[in-house]
Amino acid sequence: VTSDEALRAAAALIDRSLLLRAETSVATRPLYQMLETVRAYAAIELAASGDRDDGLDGLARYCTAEASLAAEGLIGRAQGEVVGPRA
Amino acid sequence: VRALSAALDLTGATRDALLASARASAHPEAVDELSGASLPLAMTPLLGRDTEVQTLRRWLTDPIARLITLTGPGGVGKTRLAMEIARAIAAEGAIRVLFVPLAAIRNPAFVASAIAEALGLADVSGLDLVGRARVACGDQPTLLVLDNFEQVLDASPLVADLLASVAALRVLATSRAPLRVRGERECTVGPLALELDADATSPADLVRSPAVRLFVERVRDVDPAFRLTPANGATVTAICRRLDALPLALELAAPWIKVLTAEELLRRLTRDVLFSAIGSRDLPERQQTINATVAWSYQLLGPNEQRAFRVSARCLAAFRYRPPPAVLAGGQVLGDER
Repeated sequence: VTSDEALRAAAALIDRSLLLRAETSVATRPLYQMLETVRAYAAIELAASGDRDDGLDGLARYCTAEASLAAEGLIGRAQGEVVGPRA
Repeated sequence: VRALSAALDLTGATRDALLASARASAHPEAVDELSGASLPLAMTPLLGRDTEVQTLRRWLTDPIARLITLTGPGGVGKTRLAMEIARAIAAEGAIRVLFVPLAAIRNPAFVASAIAEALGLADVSGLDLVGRARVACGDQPTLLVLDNFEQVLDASPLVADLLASVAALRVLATSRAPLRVRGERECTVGPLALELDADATSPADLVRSPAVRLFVERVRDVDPAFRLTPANGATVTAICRRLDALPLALELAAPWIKVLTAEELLRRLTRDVLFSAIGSRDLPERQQTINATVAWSYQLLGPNEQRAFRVSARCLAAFRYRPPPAVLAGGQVLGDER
């Protein structure tokens, strides 16, 4: 899954109101929220489908991407946004 | 019609009924009188939507905003909000309000028929709907409420054509996805506000939150003696937060207070957020359970989108329970601040 495809998929899910822009979004980067009830349903579909491993694969990619973003952001002006409003 | 009734060999009451129905559809104005009354009545008061109501009322006086779409997840209260607006406008009397329920329609080709019927057109075939709608509306300002558009999105061009040709017409649509038509104004309807200060613990403070109020009022429908107290306030708030303050989820969970204590309900919802599954029989089938509500959205996705949907659930779940320190920012927000 390329980042372009991932963005397209996220856009489709937002378009259908399955993924919401979190109000806690920061200026430099959008953050998304999935309603708990929606996520629980998705988990059922995930369990019923064969792509559990794909999910973990995607998760690993996501972690790596997030970690490198965070690493870049920790040094510099965007520090507050990377660490988050509550920290 | 007389010839038809003779051919069918109808007698007495049956023949009269056929003749009456033929007469009714031949006189659009007779149907028009019914249309206003066809807006479903509100069974419960609308809570926590003051901002949205104000915005929508303002937009509906703006000559440019002729297509307004209420978007948001299933169970968030789009139809309820649209009905509130429609009833208020119908009560003022200057604008004719026509309600077009589309939830039962799966084939976009039948949207034209549904609109023709709402307009009181004698021929509901949907052929040349635009031309006939122009004649039927004339100068009469008309608000068409297209409820539940998400599964007939392919009929969006028809809505665009109607708006382009019928000057007296406005459309208020509810849909989980926007129609993506030029000039569309989208009003995103989100979950109810929880609006609680961290130190708000007294029942008087808590009940200012629309989500808490909705839950408590639905509990009282089944248990009139129920009261928000300093003892149960935190638990009730936690239930609302666990359900993301989603109105349908709150309404489905509330009746369980007749069976379980608030603590026990919270415990079960924490283990399985879909626990309170079954809802009122008068809700549409796709809303009788939260499961069915999300399944409805899921089925409308393409195969790739379905896969993305399943996978994203996995990512969010993992971050929610085990946020790795290096991705604190993502973990914190995706798991939101619980």
